[in-house]
Amino acid sequence: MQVFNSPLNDMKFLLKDFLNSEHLELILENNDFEISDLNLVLEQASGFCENNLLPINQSGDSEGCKFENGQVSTPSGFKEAYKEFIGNGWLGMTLAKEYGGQGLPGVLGTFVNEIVSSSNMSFGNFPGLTTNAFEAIEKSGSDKLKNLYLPKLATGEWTGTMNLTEPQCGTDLGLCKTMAQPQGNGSYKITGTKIFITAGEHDLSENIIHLVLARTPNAPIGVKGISLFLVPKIIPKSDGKLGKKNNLECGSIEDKMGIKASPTCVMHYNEAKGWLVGELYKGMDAMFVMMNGARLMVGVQSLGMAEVAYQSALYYARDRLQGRSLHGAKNPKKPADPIIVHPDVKKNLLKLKSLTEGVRGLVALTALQLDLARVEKDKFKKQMAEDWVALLTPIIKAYGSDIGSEAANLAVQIYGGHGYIKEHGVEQLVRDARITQLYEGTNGIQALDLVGRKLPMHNGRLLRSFFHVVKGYIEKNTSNSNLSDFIPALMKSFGRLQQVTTVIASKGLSDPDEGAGPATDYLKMFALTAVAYVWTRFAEISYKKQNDDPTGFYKAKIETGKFYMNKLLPETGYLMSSIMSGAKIYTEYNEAYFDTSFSYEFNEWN
Amino acid sequence: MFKSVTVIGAGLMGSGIAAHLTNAGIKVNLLDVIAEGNDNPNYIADSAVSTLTKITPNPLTLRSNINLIQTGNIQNDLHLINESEWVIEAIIEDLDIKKQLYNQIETIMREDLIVSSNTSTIPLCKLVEGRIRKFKRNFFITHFFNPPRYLKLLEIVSSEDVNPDFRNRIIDFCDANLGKSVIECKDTPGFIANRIAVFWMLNAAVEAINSNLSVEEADQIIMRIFNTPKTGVFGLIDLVGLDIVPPVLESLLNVLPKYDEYHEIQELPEIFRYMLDQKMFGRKSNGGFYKLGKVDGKNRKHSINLNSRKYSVSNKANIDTLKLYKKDINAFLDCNDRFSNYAWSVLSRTLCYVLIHAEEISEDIITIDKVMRDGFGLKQGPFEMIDTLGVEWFKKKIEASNKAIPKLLNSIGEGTFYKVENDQYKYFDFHKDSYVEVKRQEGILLLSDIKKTKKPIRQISTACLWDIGDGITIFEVRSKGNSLDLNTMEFLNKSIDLVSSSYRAMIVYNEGEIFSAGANLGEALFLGNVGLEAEVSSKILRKGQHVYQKLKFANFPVVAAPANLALGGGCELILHSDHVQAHIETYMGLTEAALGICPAWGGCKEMLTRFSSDKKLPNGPMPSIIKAFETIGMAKTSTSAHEAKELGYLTDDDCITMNRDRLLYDAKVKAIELIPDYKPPKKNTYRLPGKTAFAAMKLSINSMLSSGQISSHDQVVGEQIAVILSGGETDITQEVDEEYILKLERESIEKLYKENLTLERLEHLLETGKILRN
Repeated sequence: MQVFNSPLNDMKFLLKDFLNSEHLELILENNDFEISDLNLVLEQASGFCENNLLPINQSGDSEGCKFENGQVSTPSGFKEAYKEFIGNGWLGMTLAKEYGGQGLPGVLGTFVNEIVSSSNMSFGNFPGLTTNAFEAIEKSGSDKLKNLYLPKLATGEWTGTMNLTEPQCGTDLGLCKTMAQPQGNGSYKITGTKIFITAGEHDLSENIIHLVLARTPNAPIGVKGISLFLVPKIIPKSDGKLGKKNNLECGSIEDKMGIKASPTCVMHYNEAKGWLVGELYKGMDAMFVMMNGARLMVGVQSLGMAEVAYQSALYYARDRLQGRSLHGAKNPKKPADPIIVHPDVKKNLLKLKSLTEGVRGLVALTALQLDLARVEKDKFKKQMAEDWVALLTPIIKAYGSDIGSEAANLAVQIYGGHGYIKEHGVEQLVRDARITQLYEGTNGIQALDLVGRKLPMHNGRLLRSFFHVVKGYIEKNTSNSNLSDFIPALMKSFGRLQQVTTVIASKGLSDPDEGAGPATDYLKMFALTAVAYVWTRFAEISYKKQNDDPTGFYKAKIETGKFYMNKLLPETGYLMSSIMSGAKIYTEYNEAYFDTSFSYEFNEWN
Repeated sequence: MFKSVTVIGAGLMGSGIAAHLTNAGIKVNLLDVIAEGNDNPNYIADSAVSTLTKITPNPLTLRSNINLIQTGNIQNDLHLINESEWVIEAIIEDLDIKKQLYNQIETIMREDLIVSSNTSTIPLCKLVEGRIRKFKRNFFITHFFNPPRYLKLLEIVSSEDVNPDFRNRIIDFCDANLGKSVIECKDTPGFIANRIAVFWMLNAAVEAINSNLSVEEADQIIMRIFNTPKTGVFGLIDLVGLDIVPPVLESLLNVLPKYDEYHEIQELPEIFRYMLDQKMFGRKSNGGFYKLGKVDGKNRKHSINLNSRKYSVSNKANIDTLKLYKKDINAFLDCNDRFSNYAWSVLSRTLCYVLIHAEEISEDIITIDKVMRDGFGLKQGPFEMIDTLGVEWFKKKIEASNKAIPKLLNSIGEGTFYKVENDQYKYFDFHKDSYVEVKRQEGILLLSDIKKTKKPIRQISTACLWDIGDGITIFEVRSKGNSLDLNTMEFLNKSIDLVSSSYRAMIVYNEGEIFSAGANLGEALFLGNVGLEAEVSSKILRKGQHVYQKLKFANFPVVAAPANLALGGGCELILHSDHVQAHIETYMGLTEAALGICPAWGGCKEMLTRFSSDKKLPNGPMPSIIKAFETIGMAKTSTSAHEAKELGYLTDDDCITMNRDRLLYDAKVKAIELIPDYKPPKKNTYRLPGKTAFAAMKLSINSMLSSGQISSHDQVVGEQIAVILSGGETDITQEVDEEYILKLERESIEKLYKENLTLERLEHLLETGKILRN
């Protein structure tokens, strides 16, 4: 069964003990909040999600979305849950106060998003995309657009979408064909077909605001000729009241592997009225605001999936009685011991737990930097914060979704055959989580973003935000005898990462294949090291607090951390070997060798 | 070799020529007319001389060169011409006024006084009309280009009457002593350079206006198609001055026959007329097609809108097809959008014009190519361009645009204008209708020629080792900016071994735009960014120091032959050579301090060494340390080879070559001279005061900081340099060796790479090419 209790203790630990209190205070100060407010919000979010979203997760999956006459209906209970969700103001939680949001710190928003996603990932897409659309319009839109659309998006009365993909144009957005004809009055007529549009049409809100990438006549070819347009489903009047229906419609919805309660739409725009967001030809820049937010959001979604997978697996591992511990019966009164007594089951559970908690720490650090970048006045500190976010975004998206998916699979593993049948709901997790490795840029693309863009950016400046911080931390703690299980291991993988980074950077400069070939290995190595840094800091805090630890929370942290450092982190050694062997294996492998239909000639046969 | 030259006319060209003569060590009399209403009869010439010290680019290799100029006026001092061997007339382009002056010269001139005119538009036959035999025999046109110090091209026109001995003397002098690329031209209108270039410029400008391109778009296309550095067509007009266009054009139209394509250019575009009326001539006036304008207090480049004639902030042109076909110029020209149509129109007209008139204006195609390269900075001349584009492709495309194929193009059939045959580099001789070997004059040796027929001894992507005969090798760097990375250093390391065992000498030389921008800082910055600053020291510095020490103490002579920029690690490479044969335009310096680091491939060590043996400095260790500290701490860069000597980067024994084309030859001669009985230098030892010297330098750093001359990070950097130069923990009683100083260099660098502000400076340099003051 899908078991989920919001990991409030872990989140409070992050807020209270882990995130640099100085930074957190700066953010709270700027937003006029106290740390106790944050706790309250978390508890309420937790209650709401467990009671309203979790119960419709499995039913939503089996019922799915329905498409009829251009209308999409969401599964039973979704409308009511959404109404409740926005009624409680959850959607605008972190959005700008100026436009009706509540202006809570983004780091809190990521926690709430994680809880939403654990409870019901499909549901989370509706408010998630609305938030991204809000931020894109806020950043690039004209005052007129902002005043008209943002308040309605902040309340969730209207929802948002992002329209990038077309049948011939996925990763390569330069191939975009959708046209925008200027009408001379500031508006455009948008014509074209977009596919894979999450929440492109549904019955949760009265209006849907589409952000559409399109090309104007005579625009330069490629991505540099693409502009971003706001195209509402129903065109609002200047007072915000709904007016005429726009010339756009949903042509169909996809029948897909998972997130069945989240409609994935084909959208037809037929001279639909739209308005330019940001500057002409700067569509990619405007869209990237949305994409970066969306990529971090996918990491958070995956984290939520990992958490629910872990809890469901833990429940089953304690509940399911099979066989005996190899050291004799642990549970002699019962017919068998629970399967948690077996080291391999324990290993899987530890993997789930240590990765989930570690990535949650990394996400929290990154969300904090994102908040910091908004409020920090000092130019260099602000830049450092922005650099961290830019560097870690592809890592959190890709590694987060890899472990989310792996966690769901491990949960099925722990359930055995019972995981493979629908009844327990863990196979749904596998199907739902799988998309996170694909959308908002596949994980392969994330790795290229890291190696091809983020590494060389400003001659490697972004790296400073991570490497100098971790190096400084290691230097400060080398003599901390408590951390003997942590610092040496961290140093080792960090040293490997330093070496590999310089090798990839210098080889990749002369031959791009040498950068692209090992990109996914490198991203994983980076992620493992970053999570090791998080675990070392967890351990440092926990050792300090272990004398006042009635629940064993800190003790558990230390022990989980030891597992991570000893059992998972060494993968960096393998990854380093693989990376150092270069890209030749790929580049020199003749494509013809992939064919299996060649025939042998047995001339020498005798 | 002339000892003294008289220049008449102290305008922009006259004073520039005078300045450049002094750069060659020649005494100059500079005469102009008496200024009306001024007490000083030499006022015009005097003020021209004082202007020489103020203009950019600097016309003087050393400020003190102006002491070689004696000013005067034509009325009183014309007799001075007879104290010199050559008189250059550079007065206004007016035949009658010139004739009046020639009348005066003719009556008093010595038998063997060479006379020349700097005219760009008046044919020689007109200038000597009615002159006596002596004058005719001694008279030439010597057409310098602006600015005379920097522009390599010099067109010389002589008549049948001239004394061949005079002709040879003047050519040799301009070539070897003034460093000019001397081109002998026929007495045809505009000679070669202006005849082609004005046609090209006007076509490019008129077509751009007709095709409705912006100045940036046109310039970007022209830059790419003709491979011109930095200026396209409008930038070039700004550089030469719009005001020269009408007189040159007029003189050409007056003389050229009606069938010449010049007559297709009916009149100048409206905007030219407008700009001429407004005196918007370009860089010499207050702006032309481009100008600087203030935006938020900062100078930003503005450009003119060719339709509205209004200036606005200049934006880089964004031409998709040019980007798409970045590496394939033929594909761009074939892609048939308005940009490529413009490019083809200008290119085909210009090249066809050259093809049609080549025989009329020149004796051979090499000369024309050379003129366009040396005079206008093109990477290739017109004939070389046609070869690169592909003769067949070019022909077909001309046919496709319904134009006749010029005869010269047909005469090479399916061949090319240049080719390598039997290890000889040959050109198509249109007189003989066959291929003839390209021969350089005695004293000119070019690596680019060697490359055409030879393979290097060994090579990597960033460097090559060449065998140029007589046991002499060339170590050539050929990376971006000729920067030196670890691979290149390892290559040098191996090359030293090879030369040591199998050759007799090494010349460090290349024909890149600059000699070397220094160490590849990207590698080091990356290490700093990922927190591996210790590896900057252990890998990059140790390697560089090791290789440079090995170079210095190798068992063969090393001659460095730099031209243009030699900074940081590139400068240190020169400092470790036995002898330097520098081009006059050598801009060298240990500029590390400006980047938040310090010289650490032995630069501090070498500067200490040479200043401590400098007899001109007072005794004791401090004067040499202070001199090194000032030079390195202020990151001083020479503005010429002469200044490099003053700064101590070059020694009194090092030699200077005026003509870039002769640099390698001179270096080779020097290398051969050094080979017999060559012994490597002895290792130096030092007695340094340590802390007391450091305290003295720190005091001066502190006072500079408190007076606001330097930033607090400059202070940090300055202190590290002071640590090295003072000797660190040593004192005057101890003798330390070269290795000791090298260790101090490494230690300082490692500290500096930990500084965020240093990393920011390096990043800024690599991103923008500019120095960040933080």
